[in-house]
Amino acid sequence: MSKFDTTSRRTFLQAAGFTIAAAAMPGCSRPPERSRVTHLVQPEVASPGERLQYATTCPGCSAGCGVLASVRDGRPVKLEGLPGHPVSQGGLCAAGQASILGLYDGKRVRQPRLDGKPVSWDRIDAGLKTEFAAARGATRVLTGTDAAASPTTRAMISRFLGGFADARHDVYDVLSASAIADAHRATHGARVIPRFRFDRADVVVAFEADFLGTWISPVEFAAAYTRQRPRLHVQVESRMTLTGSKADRRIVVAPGDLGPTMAALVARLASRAGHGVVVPAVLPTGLTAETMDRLADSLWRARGRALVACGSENVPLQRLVSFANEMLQAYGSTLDLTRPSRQRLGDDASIARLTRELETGAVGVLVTSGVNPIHELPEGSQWAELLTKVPVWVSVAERVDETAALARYLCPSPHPFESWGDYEPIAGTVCLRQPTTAAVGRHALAGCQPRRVERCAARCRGAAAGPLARRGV
Amino acid sequence: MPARTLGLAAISVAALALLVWVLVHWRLPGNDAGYTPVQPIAFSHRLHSTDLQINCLYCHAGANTARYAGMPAANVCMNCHRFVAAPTQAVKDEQWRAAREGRDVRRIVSDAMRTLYRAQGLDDALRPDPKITPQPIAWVRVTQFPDFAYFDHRAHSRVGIECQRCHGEVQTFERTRQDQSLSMGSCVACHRESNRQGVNGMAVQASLDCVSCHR
Repeated sequence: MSKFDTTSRRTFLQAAGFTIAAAAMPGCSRPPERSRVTHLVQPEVASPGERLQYATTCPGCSAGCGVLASVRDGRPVKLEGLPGHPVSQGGLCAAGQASILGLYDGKRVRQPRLDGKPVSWDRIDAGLKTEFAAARGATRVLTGTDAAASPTTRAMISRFLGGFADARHDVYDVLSASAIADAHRATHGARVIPRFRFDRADVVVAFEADFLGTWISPVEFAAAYTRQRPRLHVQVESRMTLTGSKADRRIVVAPGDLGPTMAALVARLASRAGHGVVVPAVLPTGLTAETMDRLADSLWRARGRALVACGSENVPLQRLVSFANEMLQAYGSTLDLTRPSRQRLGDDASIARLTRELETGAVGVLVTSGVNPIHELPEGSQWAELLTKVPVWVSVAERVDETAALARYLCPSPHPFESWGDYEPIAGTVCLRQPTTAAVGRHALAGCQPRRVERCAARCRGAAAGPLARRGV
Repeated sequence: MPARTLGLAAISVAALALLVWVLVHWRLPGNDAGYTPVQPIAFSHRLHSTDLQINCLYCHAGANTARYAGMPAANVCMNCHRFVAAPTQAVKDEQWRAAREGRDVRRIVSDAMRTLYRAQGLDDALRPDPKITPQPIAWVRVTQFPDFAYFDHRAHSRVGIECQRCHGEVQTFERTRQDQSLSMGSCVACHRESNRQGVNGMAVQASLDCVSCHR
């Protein structure tokens, strides 16, 4: 028995009192010294102390919402939604609001590193040029949706990959919606995620899809949902979500019962559509045939204005959803396939393929940009071993995370608020990204500022660098 | 003396020392009176505001138009310091020495001006020097308002409250310091007084609502 077990209530209160008093004391001395970094040359439009607003695209997730960054004395201090933006309609979520903090993160890496030691870009460029020329095996670029949904970045990556014989650009999302795209490849012949139009839906049935909170593009969906609230919204889910709390009817099913529940609903819809399907008699616990019949009837009566959404990562289940939506004539009304969403471009199958290729040692050159697979992928711990075995592995990262820490070549990339860029959240809708500030922080050497991945790629390809790279995109 | 008495005496001395320390260092938030940090450039308000009669708003342009008075960009300094690179006396001394030695007058650049030029990547003759990375000047904040209080310069400067009312006789400062307490008591006292006596002969309604400042 240690002496801490004998602490009496009185001793504890005394100690706590002294600690709190001691902790409160620094609050009454002067605050820590802060600096006031001024412009070298005042931009013509700005004057000291005044607020300027820059419209740009939110880097918080891959939904591509519009933000207005309030900039004071050259530094962005607050983000708000950009009114009238085609995706977010002026809204901004908590993750978006917080994305400004990443800009001032003291842990950001500011200089390229080779074997963990800071070096100049010239060393990195020269090293990579020789390594790429001598590389054998396949070339892979691994990014998140933010790189893949940017037309410019995508073009630069494919130009970079064009110089290699066996090359591929793989994409994954931390919150994946890969099954929806896979299901549409099977049912519609194109690997796309349709754009969900909740504003056009009269009846919405969502299965484990927290579309007002976290699912694909919550700000866009929330704006649509509030502009034209569905007459009936039924949420089928296992745990309480923000969306579930807003639903007219919330049906609780165990996670394992999601499939049978969906099957029961789709079978009822199919029999109403005259497909002659046998409606399963057995239902998951807590559900009655009457409930399911009423649900099917509501959807069926609202044909053309009904929508079934599902957040499951199970491809057969998503194919059932596609089938249900087809029967409900949702495609063309509440689901837009002609201008699909590009907010989740990840492909889980291609990541599984990449894992196998890494295991067999088929990959000779790997560029990871803006992703942290060791932390984010389910098989992350295995990846730590696989990545270090790749002969040439370049990591383009904002900070030294689990993955970047292991990379031989570490190329710092700027924060999206420091650089130009573009983004296509919905096919045909391209948003621009503009810098709101000069590069934050002090740089040890002149010309060691972070570079965007496409610029890294262009520099390594030497003469093949395109006009965009020369302009310093 | 028994150990118990010794222990009690030690605790009493420690407690007394703590009490003295607290009494000496106790400050209300916003009260930083007397804080005079060393700045990267030895800027003198006395020289610029009293001797040269430059208006406060020439550099702190936001005081009338924005929530923050703002700090001038280096190019505002350069409006004059493109030509003025050293104190008048140093330039006169050099002219006198040059005349006596029968040579051309050399350009004299003071240490403060050298810091200003280097920050912009310029050499003494104001030519861009590729070896120097331009690095913005990081002044040390003298007046820091607590984060939980809101203050807007516009509301105060537009009714004609002098800068000196809160910032003290800045035009006489050789090195900028916080002159008086900016804790809540000073705000409230001035608001009450202004409501009673008006500002510059005008009746005003200075709010005493909590939410005016703690919003």
